[in-house]
Amino acid sequence: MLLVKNSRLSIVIALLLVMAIAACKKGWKDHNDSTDPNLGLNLITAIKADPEAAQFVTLLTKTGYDKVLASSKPFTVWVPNNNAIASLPANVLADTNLLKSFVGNHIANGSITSGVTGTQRIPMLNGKYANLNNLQLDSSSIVTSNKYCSNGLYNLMDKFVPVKDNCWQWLLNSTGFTSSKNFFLSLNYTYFDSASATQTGVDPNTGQPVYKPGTGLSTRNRFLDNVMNVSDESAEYTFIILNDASFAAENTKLTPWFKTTSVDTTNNLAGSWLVKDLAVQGSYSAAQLPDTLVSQYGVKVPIDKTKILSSIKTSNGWVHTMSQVNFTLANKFPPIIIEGENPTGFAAERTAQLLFRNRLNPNTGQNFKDILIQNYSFASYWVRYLAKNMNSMRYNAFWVAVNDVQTTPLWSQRLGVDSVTTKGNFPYITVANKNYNEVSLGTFTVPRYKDLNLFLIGANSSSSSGGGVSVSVDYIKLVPAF
Amino acid sequence: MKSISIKKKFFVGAMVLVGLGMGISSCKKVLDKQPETFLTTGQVYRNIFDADAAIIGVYGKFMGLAKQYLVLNELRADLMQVTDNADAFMREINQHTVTANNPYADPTPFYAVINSCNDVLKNLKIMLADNKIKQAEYDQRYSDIGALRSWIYLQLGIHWGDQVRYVTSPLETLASAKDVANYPVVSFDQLLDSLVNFTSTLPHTRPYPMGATINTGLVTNVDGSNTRRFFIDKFALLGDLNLWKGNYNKAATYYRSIMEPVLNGYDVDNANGLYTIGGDQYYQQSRQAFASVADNRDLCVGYIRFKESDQGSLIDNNTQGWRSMFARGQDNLWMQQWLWVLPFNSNFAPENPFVNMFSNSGGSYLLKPSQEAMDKWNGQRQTNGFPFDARGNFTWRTLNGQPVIVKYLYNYLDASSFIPSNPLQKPGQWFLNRVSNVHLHFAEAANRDGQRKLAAALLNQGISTTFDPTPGVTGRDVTNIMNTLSEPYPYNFDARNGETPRYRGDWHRNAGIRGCARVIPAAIVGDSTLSIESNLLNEGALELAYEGHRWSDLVRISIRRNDPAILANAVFNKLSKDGNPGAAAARTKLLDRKNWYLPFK
Repeated sequence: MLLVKNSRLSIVIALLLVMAIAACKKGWKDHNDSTDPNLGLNLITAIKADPEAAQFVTLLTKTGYDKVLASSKPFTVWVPNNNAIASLPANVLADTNLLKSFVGNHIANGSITSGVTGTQRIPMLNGKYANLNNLQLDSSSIVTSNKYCSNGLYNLMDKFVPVKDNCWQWLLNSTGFTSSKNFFLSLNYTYFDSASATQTGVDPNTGQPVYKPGTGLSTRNRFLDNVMNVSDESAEYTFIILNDASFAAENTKLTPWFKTTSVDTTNNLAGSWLVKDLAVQGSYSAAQLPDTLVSQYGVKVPIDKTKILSSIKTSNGWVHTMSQVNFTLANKFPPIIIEGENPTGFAAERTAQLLFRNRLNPNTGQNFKDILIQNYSFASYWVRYLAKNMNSMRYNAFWVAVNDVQTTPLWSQRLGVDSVTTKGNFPYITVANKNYNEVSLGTFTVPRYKDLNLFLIGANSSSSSGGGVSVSVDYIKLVPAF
Repeated sequence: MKSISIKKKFFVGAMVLVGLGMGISSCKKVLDKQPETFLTTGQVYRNIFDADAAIIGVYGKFMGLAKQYLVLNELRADLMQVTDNADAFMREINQHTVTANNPYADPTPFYAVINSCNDVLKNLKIMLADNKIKQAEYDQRYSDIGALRSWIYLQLGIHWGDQVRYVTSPLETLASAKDVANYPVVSFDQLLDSLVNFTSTLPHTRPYPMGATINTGLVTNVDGSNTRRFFIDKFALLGDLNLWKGNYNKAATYYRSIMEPVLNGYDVDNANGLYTIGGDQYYQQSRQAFASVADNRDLCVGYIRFKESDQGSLIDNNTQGWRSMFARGQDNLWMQQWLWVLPFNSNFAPENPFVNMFSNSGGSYLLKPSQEAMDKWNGQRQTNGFPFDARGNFTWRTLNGQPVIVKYLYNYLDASSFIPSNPLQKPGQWFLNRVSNVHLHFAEAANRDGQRKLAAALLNQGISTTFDPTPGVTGRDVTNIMNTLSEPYPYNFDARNGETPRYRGDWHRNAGIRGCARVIPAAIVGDSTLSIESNLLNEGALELAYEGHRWSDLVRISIRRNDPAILANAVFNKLSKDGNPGAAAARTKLLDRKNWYLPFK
């Protein structure tokens, strides 16, 4: 009402209000606005404008990566400066594929901040990985870091990051390690993958798909599949390659324990047993190598640094070529432990009497599981276990069999190897009350490398009460005797 | 003409009057329109149904405290740990670095429920004065809400210590909010005195009666659950208040009332007659009964009969054994154990917060068991020789490679696959109190009242076995053994179980907490009073983990022994075992009692 009556005053107030709002607006814009002009530019425009990056820009344009960096997805580029590019080998410049891979080795998807302590393994656009730690990308130093653009950020480096072979590629491309290389290649096999095969029809009789011959096939390698995938770029490995003489020497050491009916099979088994411990996870340079590596199978690998022929940094770790890795047989063939709670068969179904127990071993302070069967009413009842891949050697057998249920009567049981009837070297042994120690059972020899059935056999009498006829075992341990 | 003009004048005047009248009446109508979705003060508290609705309303509001209650009482203590998903505020609670704006340290939600309680209490008084409800109806309802208020104040005292205002009148209007200043800040000890004074004068300490003799509006079946255990157990609260206060005999007397359920109005009017003297329910209700070894229809840790040493025969399902108490419906067995449980229904608010807190499928998985808690269970030995306590397996499980607290998830997850039965339906229960807790607290009071053997009996193997010089011998006259009848109430128990002459004492099925859980008795080392008390404290962790009792148990016993290290070391063990760098700092902090309490906003 007042405003309507006094039109002059109302105009003044209205003006003041407008001014106040306008002033506010400007202030906040200044407050929120960034001062970095790069943020308005995309990566390729910003890099092109950077005189230090001129040489790399030429390569970007040549390989077509300039269009990638103009897209709206975020990227991180580690740009080698002009000095660095000047030392690029001519063969890389000449080969389009090599050059593309080289440029891709400096670009990663996503915005990744450099200068953060702690190693990150960054996947690059060429499929390789590089380790970024603080202001260090592999062996190159970042000179100017984290220049932000509208679609990511770039850094300037004093050196380029060369594209390296990975451990497996290095082996395949190597010369002079024929025995090793041939052995590893002998583990190749052809794999059929229906997803990548071309289907041409359906078999009218079986209803199964029919594929075009020769499609869907790929080569795989048993070492990479089953032991250690040293061709994997995303992690780091240390891979030991033996020269011909030492490969032969170590193989000869192992062959007696892999007796089969065929020399080839024996050599193959011995070779596999040899190489399974030659790759470990983690990147160890020659200087970082300890005097003993422990493989994933718990085998100690003695490293005599004087026997290292060469050490090669690869894209996923280190390859060391060596003239000797002198395995100790006792380390190479650790004791075999068969757990009592993992049987493969029984003489007869006795579910009602079968107990899988949890117990505490007071000697070791460790919990264990075992098997106990009592009052099963079956003469010479047996429980079967499978010991896989037993070497052709002599074994000393032990067990831990716990009777913590009764002091009297005590029961007796024996071990059977390969058969439930032949007694062999293993007599019945009384299971003492509360004995948590390993009990020596005797020795047996395996004539040929094979899978072996072991039997835990109860007393040759039948009883359904009193517990005098029982069997129990925590584990059976087979220690190789050389 | 003249007459016309007079008429005209009259007409105009009439119009003005009418117009004015319309104006006034329409004003009244427009401005005083009654709200459609809210009730005004005149529309509530008119009759008994309104009173019952108000009480249910308070409990509905109370359920909103479930999450905060559990975070405060478990995450502050030693059995619960944050996951990587937990927010910064939970982490603060976990490592005792609470900042002022932490929502878990805000007492406002507690006071909101207290205010509702105060409002109901005030109006119940008015209703009684206006003869809108009968004296008996008033007594039951007033006592219920009064006790609930005391329980909430006890929680405030436990967590905020000497900073609590004991407000006992409702703040209905903005103006009355200023009156808060008239209620002074009281110390925890003064608060306990006030709570003991108020609560022990409540006219009705039994549960709401059932049956036709009196209005049964509150004990009924709602949405698939019976409301018998919805309401706070007043005996348990009175026991707890006196236990905090150090009135051990009084505390034990109150707890004993729960332990004699038939005499004290628990479920006695049940129409199906199961509570007749001598029946299963009579011997087992509130008595921590022994296992039913033949069919495992019990709430004990059990194995298939005659295969007790086989790990595969552990009774691990939702219908038998110890685990089933958190999963089963409200059948007779459930009634034997539970005293106070509020169900969350997936069809209406309030929403069950526990799925989100604990589950790693369909929830946010914010909290998990601490290594310290796992070690506690794995450090036990069962009577069958197994080196662990199966209650641990039932309390938490490894699901999808992560340790998950499953006590609250049995109604949500499939009983055997542990995949959510329906991820959109999140039923669950807020477990507030049960018989095992009462037995442990009774034993705690009895132990301090000189009844050490009885305390150990209730903890370990039960009364019958403990007061028997040669347990297991058959064909004896048991007249003078298996009982404590020479002791005064509340310590006189008859657990005799014999054939010639035949005895079946009321307590002959009592198996003790550890007996029922199938773990060997806890050893007494050194001073028996202190040792038994420590054993009881530890048993609370094993039996009642994540049910909201841990922090208060630690605080109460630390205060009683004047030994802050009990609490500080428990928290230190949790944090250090889980690799928390703040472990030592938290220990140092908690060695000073004033740092046990949260900042009061």
